[in-house]
Amino acid sequence: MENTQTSFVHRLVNHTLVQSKVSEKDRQAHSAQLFSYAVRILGSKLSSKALNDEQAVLQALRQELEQQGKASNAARLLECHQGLCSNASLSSSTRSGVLRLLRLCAGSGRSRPSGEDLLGSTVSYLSKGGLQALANIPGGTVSRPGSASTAPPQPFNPLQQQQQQQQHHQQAEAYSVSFPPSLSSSFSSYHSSGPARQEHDHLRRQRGAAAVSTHDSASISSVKEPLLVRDVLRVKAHADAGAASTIPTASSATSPAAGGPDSGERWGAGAGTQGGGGAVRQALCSTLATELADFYRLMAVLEAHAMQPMPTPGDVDASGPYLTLRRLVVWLGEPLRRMRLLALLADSTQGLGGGALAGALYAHAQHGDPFVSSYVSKVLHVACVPLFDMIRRWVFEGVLEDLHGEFFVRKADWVADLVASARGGDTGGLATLELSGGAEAQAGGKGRDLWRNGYWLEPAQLPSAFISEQLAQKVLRAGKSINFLQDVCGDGPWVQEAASAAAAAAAQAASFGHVEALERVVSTASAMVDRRLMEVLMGRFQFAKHCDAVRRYLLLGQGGESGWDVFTLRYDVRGPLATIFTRDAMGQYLRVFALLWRLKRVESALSSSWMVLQCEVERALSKFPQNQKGQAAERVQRQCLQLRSEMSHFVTNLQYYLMFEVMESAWQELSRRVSCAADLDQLIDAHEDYLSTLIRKALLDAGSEALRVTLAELTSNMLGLHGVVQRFNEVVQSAERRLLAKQWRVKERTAAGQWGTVAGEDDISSVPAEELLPVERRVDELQRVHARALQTFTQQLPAQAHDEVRFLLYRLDFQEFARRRSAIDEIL
Amino acid sequence: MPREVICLQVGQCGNQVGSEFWRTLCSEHGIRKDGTLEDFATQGGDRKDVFFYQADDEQYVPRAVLLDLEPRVINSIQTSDIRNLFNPENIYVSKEGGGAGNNWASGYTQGEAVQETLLDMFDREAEYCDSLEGFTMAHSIAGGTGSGMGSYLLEMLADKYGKKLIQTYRYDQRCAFINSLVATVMAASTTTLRYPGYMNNDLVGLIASLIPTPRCHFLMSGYTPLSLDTDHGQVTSNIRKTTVLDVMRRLLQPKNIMVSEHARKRDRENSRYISILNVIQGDVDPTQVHKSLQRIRERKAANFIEWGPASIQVALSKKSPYVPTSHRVSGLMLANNTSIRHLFNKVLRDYEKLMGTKQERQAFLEPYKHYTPFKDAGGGLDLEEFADAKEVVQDLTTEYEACEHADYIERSRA
Repeated sequence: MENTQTSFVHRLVNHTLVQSKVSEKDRQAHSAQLFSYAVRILGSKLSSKALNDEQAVLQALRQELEQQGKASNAARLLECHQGLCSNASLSSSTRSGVLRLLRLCAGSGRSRPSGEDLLGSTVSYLSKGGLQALANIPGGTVSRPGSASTAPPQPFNPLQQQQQQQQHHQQAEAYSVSFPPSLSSSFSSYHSSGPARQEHDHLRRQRGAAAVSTHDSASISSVKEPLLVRDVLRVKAHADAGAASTIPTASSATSPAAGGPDSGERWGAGAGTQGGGGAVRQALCSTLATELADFYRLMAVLEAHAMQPMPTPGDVDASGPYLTLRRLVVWLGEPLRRMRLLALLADSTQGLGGGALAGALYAHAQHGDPFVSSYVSKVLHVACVPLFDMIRRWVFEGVLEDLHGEFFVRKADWVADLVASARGGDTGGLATLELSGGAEAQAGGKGRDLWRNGYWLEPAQLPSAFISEQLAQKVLRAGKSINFLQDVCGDGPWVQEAASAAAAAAAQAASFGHVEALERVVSTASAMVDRRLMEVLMGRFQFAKHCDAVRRYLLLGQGGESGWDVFTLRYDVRGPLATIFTRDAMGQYLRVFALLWRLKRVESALSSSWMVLQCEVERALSKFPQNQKGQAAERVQRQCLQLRSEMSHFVTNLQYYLMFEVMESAWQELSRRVSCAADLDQLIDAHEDYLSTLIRKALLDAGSEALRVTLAELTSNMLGLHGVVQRFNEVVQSAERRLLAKQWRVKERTAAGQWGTVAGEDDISSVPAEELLPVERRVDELQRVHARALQTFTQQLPAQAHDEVRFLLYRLDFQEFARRRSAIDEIL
Repeated sequence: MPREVICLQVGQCGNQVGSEFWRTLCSEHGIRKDGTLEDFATQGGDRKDVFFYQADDEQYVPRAVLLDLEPRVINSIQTSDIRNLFNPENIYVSKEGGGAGNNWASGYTQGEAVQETLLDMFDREAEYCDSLEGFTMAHSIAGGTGSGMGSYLLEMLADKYGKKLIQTYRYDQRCAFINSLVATVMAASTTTLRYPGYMNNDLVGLIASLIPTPRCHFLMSGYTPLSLDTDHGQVTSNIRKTTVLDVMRRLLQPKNIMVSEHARKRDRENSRYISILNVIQGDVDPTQVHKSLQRIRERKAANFIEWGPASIQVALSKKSPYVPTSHRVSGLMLANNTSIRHLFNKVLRDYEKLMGTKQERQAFLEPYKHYTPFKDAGGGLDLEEFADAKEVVQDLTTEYEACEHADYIERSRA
């Protein structure tokens, strides 16, 4: 329909232009301009519905004639009209069109300033062509089906009608009837400025109209007043939402709701089929319908009143409910404003649904005019009932019933499956439901995390004008928390209870429609749910304890003699806490753990080395003669101890740094934030910040790659010491065994009365230096690597932005040993 | 995995200190005087098995061996309130009961005479352990039993348990509250083992960082605030401010260090810390540690060696939840300081005095003539052991003195 219409217009425009003497180039520009102008007019529904009405036009003509004192002509007009009506081939609309044309022609003689707009100037060339066009009209319209058969005057397709009107307009213009400036400006104001401006125009014009009508009533003989009143009423009754009749421009601009009851219904139905048809839209339609019904009731009453004879000046009994034009103006003033408003609302919210619709209505409610504001608020209130109902069910029961996709909270398709599968399990939701840690999560990439991406806010459906992002988040979280409690925490009974409590709360929340009330209710609900969720997480699921447990795992301080490499942290968190301790998070924990574990391993190896050097080697060496000071073995022992001490110094201080400056300070921050976390989001944030702080400060972030390489070199080098020390110990122990054997033999021989020492026998008085050479070389190498890597490490450290690294640097060189040594190295 | 420690208490002082130590440990772990656990102490998060094992009836038994050559002190323990705490099999009192008469050689030889019995006790106790870390021994070095028998035990343990650590708590002074003081220090120095964290949770690691050279393994301890149980009730020092910095600063003050070093002011200026470990107990904000260290470095409150990296290591430890204290924070310092050489120098000077003229030597050495190591083939006095001992001590002071110089490493390699 739309297409045929536009193509029709297009053809018409082209046709018109072809006959003009405009150059080809200009014509194209004109064509585009004209076309868009025509479509705009069509779109704006500019035209008086009243004047589409055959009877109305007839009346108007007659009145004009009578006013001009041509009563005979008026009678003649009626006769002619009778004749016209007898022609069955002409539909009512065609007839009215003809009448309108006549009227316009009649009025063309009167002074109307020539319009400046393009249409006026262009079509003024076309008087001849226009005439021809006019001649074609009757046949054209007759060919349109359904227009006559459907109940006149109203219920036929307004678009067709408009098209006709458009043609009429054009024809009218063809006879140099330009638009009055007020009209053309009202087009532009309608299209360019907001409703407020438009409303202003309406008001202005309405006042004008009232003035005209009173003026009219004064100027015409008062005997005609009842007739006028009835006319007006009829016009109103027939002409839809009434506003149309008095102020053609305004009403035509505010179609389609201005199309009256059926138009409103049609509009609603149309909206329904357009895929909207949601609860909010239905609520709005029902409001419109109610308002229209009221309006008709008023009209009926007025009509009844209009039947009452007007009292003559001499009448004593003048108390009857009769109607004068003045009274009519007074009676109709407000209802008409309402109708216009409704039309405006209906028009501007077309195609919208759900939250977006509510948002659009709310925007209208923010009108400076208290009347408009309060009236739209009322409409908004009713229209929002289903929306607020959805919010209420969501925040109190966690139920998301949104067949038409109107609610600003959405849930992922998989949520239902997940929950169903969890509930289906015999063990109950808790044990089997692996929400974020499961294999599914890995496969799904983003993960099926009920909390993180199971539900989200749909910005398009969020009436952000009165439901702020913050409030929406609150709403989202409240319902999410409820579902989380129910499905993940297995806290169904509480949810049921809360829901019944909520019903009570909702009952007393009669003023739920107001935004403040909504905020209050949502705040109450979310506070309640958050509190409960926190209780459950902290209490039943012992979040803090788990945090601490994970932390303890990180600090798992005891290592066996073997199995260092295969050991890894596996802390399996299931149930609701898996939402916080996600697989990702556990991966990060694991990285911190791996670092601490490696350092622990180095520490342990260094401790073992110390034991070997200080106990086994020392005790073995003490068996050798005392005067062996400075011998090779002791030199190696000292060198090993010294290197061990330097390595241990590094490891210990790195551990201190990680303990106090990294873990402990992050832990304090986490504890603080956990203790004051009001909802799961805050809890998750706190935990994620904790983890990222750990990763960053523990030099495990992306920026510390080079440091980690150096650190790996340092640690593997340090681990290498233990093997060397053990090798050294073997050499020393074997030397000691030989020494003891020799001493034993000497003792034996001495006891047997022989010489203690025998020439050529293993003469061992110290650990042989040549056996120690490989050990010494290894130790030298380890020492070199350590010194070099340590220097690299301390040079790379300051590149880290965070302050705590200074602590590490500071501790690594507490008594400025390294600085002194490097200074000496430079001198050498 | 627990790292168990077996405690030997030798001689009069050793046993007195030991019983104080066990009292302290019991109250800190919530163990009653009979070894059963207090009801409130079931969830302590502490590690009782370092110093106790559980008997079949759930009673906690100290890993303690009580040794003496005279019955007085041990008898008093066996009639005291903690009489049921110890394993009676682990108590050895010499049958002669005559003591060692302040004679080192007597103590040594008497110990040697019963080595089988003693070794059985140690072996049995070691078998109760999953992963024996080592031994600690409390003994005096002034008398006969503690010093003599103690020395023998050290030799025996080094021989039989050559791969285990042996830590000794020695003291040479007697005063009214020294026992409880030493017990406090012993308890404090083991808190990181008994309330383990990520760091400092094994004795070897604790000691290793303090001893970077083969010989210099004589540590000093300092403790603050001193709060001591005496016969007159609790004597509490009037120290109110107990932040980490305060504690660490006070620990560095000579008056809080429990080894009288016999050092003059000039000596003290030259002395160097080889290492420092501060065990800080109580309600401490770990993030204060860095600030405190910074202040101490700024004020140059501690002189460190110049031949290797060294710093103040800080071990933060929990306080027992069962023992109320008037102080928020308490601190123990274990330090390896070269000024201890002045103590050995004093020993050397005393030695020279005793060995000076024939007269004095006779008076001192006469009792030693009866014991094997000092008896030469002809029944006369063999002084070789004394000379060896003196040489060892002399070497030690030289070593410590060398540590005060920046070129220590180069010297020791020459």
